[in-house]
Amino acid sequence: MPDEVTLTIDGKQITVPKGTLVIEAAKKLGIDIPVFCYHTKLEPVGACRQCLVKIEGFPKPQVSCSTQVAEGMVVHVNTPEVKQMWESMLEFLLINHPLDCPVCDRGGECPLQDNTFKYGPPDSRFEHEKRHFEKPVPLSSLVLLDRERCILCFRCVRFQREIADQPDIYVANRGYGDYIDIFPGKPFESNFSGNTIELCPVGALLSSLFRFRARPWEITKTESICPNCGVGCNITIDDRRRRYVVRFLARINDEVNEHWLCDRGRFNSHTINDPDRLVKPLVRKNGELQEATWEEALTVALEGMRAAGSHAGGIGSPARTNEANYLFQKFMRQVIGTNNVDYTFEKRTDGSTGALASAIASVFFNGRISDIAESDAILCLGSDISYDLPLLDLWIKKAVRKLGKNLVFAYPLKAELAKYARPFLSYHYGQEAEFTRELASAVSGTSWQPLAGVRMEDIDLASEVLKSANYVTVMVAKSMIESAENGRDVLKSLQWIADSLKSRNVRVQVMLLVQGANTFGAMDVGLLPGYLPGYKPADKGLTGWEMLEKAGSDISALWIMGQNPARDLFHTEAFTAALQKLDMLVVQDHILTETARYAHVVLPSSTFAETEGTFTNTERRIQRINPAIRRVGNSKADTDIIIEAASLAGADFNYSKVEEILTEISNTVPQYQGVTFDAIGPFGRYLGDLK
Amino acid sequence: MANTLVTKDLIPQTIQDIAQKAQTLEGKEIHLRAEKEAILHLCQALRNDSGLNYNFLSDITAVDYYTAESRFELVYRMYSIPEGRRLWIKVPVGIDQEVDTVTSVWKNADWMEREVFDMFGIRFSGHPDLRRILMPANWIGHPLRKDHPIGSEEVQFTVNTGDITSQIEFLNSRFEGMDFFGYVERGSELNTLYGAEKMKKYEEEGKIILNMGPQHPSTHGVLRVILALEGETIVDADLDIGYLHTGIEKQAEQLIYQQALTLTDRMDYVSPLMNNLGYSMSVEKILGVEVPPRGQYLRVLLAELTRIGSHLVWLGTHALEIGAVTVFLYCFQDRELLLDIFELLSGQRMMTSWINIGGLRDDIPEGFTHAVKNFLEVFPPRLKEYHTLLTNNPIWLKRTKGIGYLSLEDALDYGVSGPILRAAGMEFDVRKTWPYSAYSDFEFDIPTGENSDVYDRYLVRMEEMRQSLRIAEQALAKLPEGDYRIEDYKIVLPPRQRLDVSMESLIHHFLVATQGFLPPKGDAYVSYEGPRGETGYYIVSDGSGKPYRMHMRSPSFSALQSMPLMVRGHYVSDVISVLGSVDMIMGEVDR
Amino acid sequence: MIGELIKGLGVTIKHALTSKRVTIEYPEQKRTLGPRARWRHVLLRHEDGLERCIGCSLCAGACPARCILVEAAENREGARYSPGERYAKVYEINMLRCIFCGYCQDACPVEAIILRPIYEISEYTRDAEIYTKDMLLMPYPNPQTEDLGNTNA
Repeated sequence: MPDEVTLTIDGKQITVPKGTLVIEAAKKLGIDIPVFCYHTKLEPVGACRQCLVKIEGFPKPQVSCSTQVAEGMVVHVNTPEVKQMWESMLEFLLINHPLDCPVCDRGGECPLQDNTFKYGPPDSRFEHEKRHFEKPVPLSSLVLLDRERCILCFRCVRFQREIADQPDIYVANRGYGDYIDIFPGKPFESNFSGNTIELCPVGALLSSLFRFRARPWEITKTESICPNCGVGCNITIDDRRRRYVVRFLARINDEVNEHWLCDRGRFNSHTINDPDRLVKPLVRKNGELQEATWEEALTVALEGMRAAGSHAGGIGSPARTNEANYLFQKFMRQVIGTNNVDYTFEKRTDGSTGALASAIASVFFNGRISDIAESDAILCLGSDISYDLPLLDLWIKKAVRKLGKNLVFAYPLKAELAKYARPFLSYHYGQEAEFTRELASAVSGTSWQPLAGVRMEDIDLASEVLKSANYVTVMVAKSMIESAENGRDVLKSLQWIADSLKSRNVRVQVMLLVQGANTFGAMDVGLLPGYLPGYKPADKGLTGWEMLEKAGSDISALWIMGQNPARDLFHTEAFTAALQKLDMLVVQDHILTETARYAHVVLPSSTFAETEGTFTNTERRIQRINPAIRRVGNSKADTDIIIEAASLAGADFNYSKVEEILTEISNTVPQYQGVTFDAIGPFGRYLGDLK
Repeated sequence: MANTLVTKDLIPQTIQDIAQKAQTLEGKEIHLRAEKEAILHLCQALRNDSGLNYNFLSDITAVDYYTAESRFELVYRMYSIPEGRRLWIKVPVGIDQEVDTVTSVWKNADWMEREVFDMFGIRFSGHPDLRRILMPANWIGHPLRKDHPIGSEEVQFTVNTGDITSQIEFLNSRFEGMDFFGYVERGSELNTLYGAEKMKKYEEEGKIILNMGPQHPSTHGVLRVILALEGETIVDADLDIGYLHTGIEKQAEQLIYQQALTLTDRMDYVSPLMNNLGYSMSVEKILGVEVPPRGQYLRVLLAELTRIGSHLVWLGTHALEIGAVTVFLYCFQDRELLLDIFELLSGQRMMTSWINIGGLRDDIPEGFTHAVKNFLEVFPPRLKEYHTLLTNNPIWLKRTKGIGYLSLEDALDYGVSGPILRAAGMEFDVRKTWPYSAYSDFEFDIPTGENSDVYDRYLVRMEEMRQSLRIAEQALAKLPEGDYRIEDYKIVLPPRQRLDVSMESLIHHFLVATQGFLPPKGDAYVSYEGPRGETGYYIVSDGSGKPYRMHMRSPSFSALQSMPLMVRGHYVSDVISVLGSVDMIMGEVDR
Repeated sequence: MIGELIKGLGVTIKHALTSKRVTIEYPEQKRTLGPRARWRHVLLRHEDGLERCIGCSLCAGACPARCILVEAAENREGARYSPGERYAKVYEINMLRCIFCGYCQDACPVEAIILRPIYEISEYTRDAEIYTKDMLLMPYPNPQTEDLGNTNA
């Protein structure tokens, strides 16, 4: 085959695609070669020289990480000569390495230690003074640098430059005097800085949050999903003694987050064991919130909610699991007897929900994150992705910078991704419908007028870029649809764009950009007024925003799970006033939020790190979370709280395991057909694939 | 031959191959893999039909290779005594598959297969009495399977003291179907009074069923003997073991090799250093390292002192149970000297954990040689005193002569080794047949008996003590200079002074202390002559720092199984004498 | 027959009348343990009073019984406990779980933890057998290490 190469490594033949690196070919044969600077996601540099091998025909040893395979190449790895080279290279690296292992956080999970143990010398020949630096040096409030330990593999600098495109760190000085530094007065602010800590093969770059907190043999690991944004990055929760979460690490999933996490998600681990965690239910007695038993608290809550009946409301959360949201709406509708259920208290325009619901149900949104890199053109509408869904920012940067793809970026403000866009369409905020109609007209070849603040040339350029592509990814922010005066129109225009492109034989995938880790899931399982699970029509109900608007009149009782309207950016006063008008306010959350301070009953719920369940991310991939630590204090999982409340009310919510709830969801929601814990697996599955 | 599975048709060919090799070096240790359908015929051929005379079944155990195509692998190990040829057969068995029992070939297999069934769930078709042996009768699950949870109480610190209800919840939740609180209350109704089915039949026939133990001052540990009596005479006996089962083998899979060494002290707890030795030798075989001569000699010295210590316990408790209380006190007084020597050497009297992988943990301290020399002078006269007190004492003779006869044929059939086999007349000692650890440098004799009764076993052990003194003297006199351990820092900890100056040594110290050394994949078993017979540790390594499987071949396990034969026709009080002569340690029987 | 019994009695009577008593009348008399005796743990200090323990947790990693709990923290200005960056903020040993194998002593890279021949460590409650750092840390100024727990001292 013309694009394949056959070579021999240690006497074994293998055929690999052209362009494969020798080290990768060896890995396929199960031959392990030690590395430091080499990383599968970074361009090879051959800086550390650890991966030397003998290749016949070359007088000197070659670095296998930077050498591509050639037809008929004969490589020798497991020979005494090569082993001696590896040992010597490690000896060189260890000459200036400080004797820090007992105090270094990397000890026990350190590639330098492991490679020295496997391939390095057992004792030292070095008897002189090692080089010294001041240590550790804070590069930011999150990342510390110990220059004495740095082996100058440059992975950190390369990552920031090649992948994050936020080169906040650089290599100062030169040659023997190299060291890593930040620019004067500019700390290491990149919101991907945490990844350099995981990349660093020694204990040079360290997390200040994790500093000295645990040793690898004291840690238990659990697979989970980050709950902070719609990407749903795969994480590993590290904890001590099944009680204290000590950090989050990235879990490799080449279809979602590859090897990376953003700082916001990564450095949030300390909130789980925060001393402010609610540990007991609270009930308001004599004007003050006092500790109570679960039975007491739930009884009071039920009384208040049932008294309100159809004048009660329930607001769930796009950051809680499918199982929790599903039971929540079922509880509100069947046990409390109200149609007022929603997953958010944010204002949405009339009709946008309905339009979105039918779009989701008709599988209009079929976009996959990993296909972003496959497409020739990416159309991103209405989202500051770098802030809202940071990992997607990395995917787009990969497509544009590494693979030469085109980005059309539309946003009212100049966001970070604007500089990669060709063109950047800066439409007027509030004129989303007009703008998308213009764009759709241009793409379809219909005449149009520039109304929304974007120049004609830019729209023309955008339409050309899209039309001349083979595969286009359209990403549209849900907030753009919901805040537009007529969200329905925005969706119609999108449909028009997709249809026009498809009629020109351009492949199109459309992704709805949601901000919550489980926004899709919350909608899918029926936490929407007027929709039952699976977007089946239900009796009309009030939205979260309307519930708060009508608090004290149409709404006399609210049960809020995982939301904090009293802290809303724009409506604090109005919401706070509204909450105080309620006869019964039940708040189910982790800490005593601002909203909870006005509650009559506060129910402590366990976090995602303590419970089982599923999240559906922005590409409609369903992923599993697993409990890492035992429940903090006397908190309960959201599902358990609702099950207990239901049984106190005499209803039959008979689920002994969380998976049973998922089974019910898979039987009730058509989009979730075929979903089981096993089918989801450790890396999640697209909902579409499971049917 | 090692990799092709022996099927029924290949048996004749295999036997021929083995017979051809029998006299060569290669024939000394042969490894086979066989199909489970072929195992019974193969074993029959190896023992009975072919003249190869593999008459001694050392061990049947299993390993759970969880992700392998055939989940389990049964490991059979047999010897031809006294020539000393060894043969292994490995049989892959899938889950829910049955294997023919080999109890018809060696009676020994009875308990061993029961243990494999108990721990792994592999059923043996045709087995006379397939029920649990170590675990309680109502246990759900098979503990040594890799997916069976290991329960334990959380270690208490100030952050979690008193958190006991959550511990019980935790245990109950891990072991589905078990109710740990309830089990404790219900336990008594579930205890099987009769043991084997045959006991029930005896009762129907009108015999008296008498229960001895597990709480009994003279059953030599927590052992329960169920006797069927005709009047005062014993018709038959059954043994109920497992009261001291603490899951050591499963626990070893959770610890790194050096840490698992501390568990071995506690198996045969009266001879801890020998356990350390056996375990270390097996691991060293996997690692492919050889201990330097000084280390070897010190190991021999310590092993022999341990043997004397163990025999002193045997003698003291045996005599005590028969009524000679003074002997007990004298023996323990002499044992104090030994325990003081061990304390001088290691810091602990009993659980020393001093013989380590690679040699010893440290060299002998000052005063050690003096203390040992002192013991070697003080002890021989004391030994003579024991003889004076017991050997021709009429009461002793009445209680031990002619009691507990075990024919040589039965002894081999039941896999009995050590002093009991030697008292039956067979001169077999691992130190002579398969010398390990420099024993071939030493001169010593193997005492044997003729009558195979309790008295002969007594004489054999007394003489063994004398021979051990001989070896100890030689070891001390010829002790070579040099290293007491291998100096490979990828296996042993580097010397302290290197940690301040050598980066590489610090790294190796860090990893060897916490993650442990990484042996190559493989398995090994090295026998040694423990005070109770042929002992050894079968270790399987998967390349990680923790043993994948650790199994101890316990000589008392087999010896105890033959005990009913020794008591038939005797009185109840003779059970005590017989148990004393068997000299089992429940720690190694039950693990 | 009688002859044998008399010979036996001869041995025991000889011992009863002439042998030195070997019983050590504890607690009035106490046996001296060997210098390597492994009993109670002690956390040592440097000459200048700084703790030797740097909170590296290798002892906890080497312990077969998992009975050591270490939580490390950073030395700060005005709150320096050990030389270097790191010290043990929490250091506990559950003495009931400890098997006195001495692996912690072997694993410690800075000779901070040692096992001394102090064997009188019985208590009436389980909680009292959880030794915290203040109970383990040797007092300052340091007595000579060899004197720690020496029953003859």
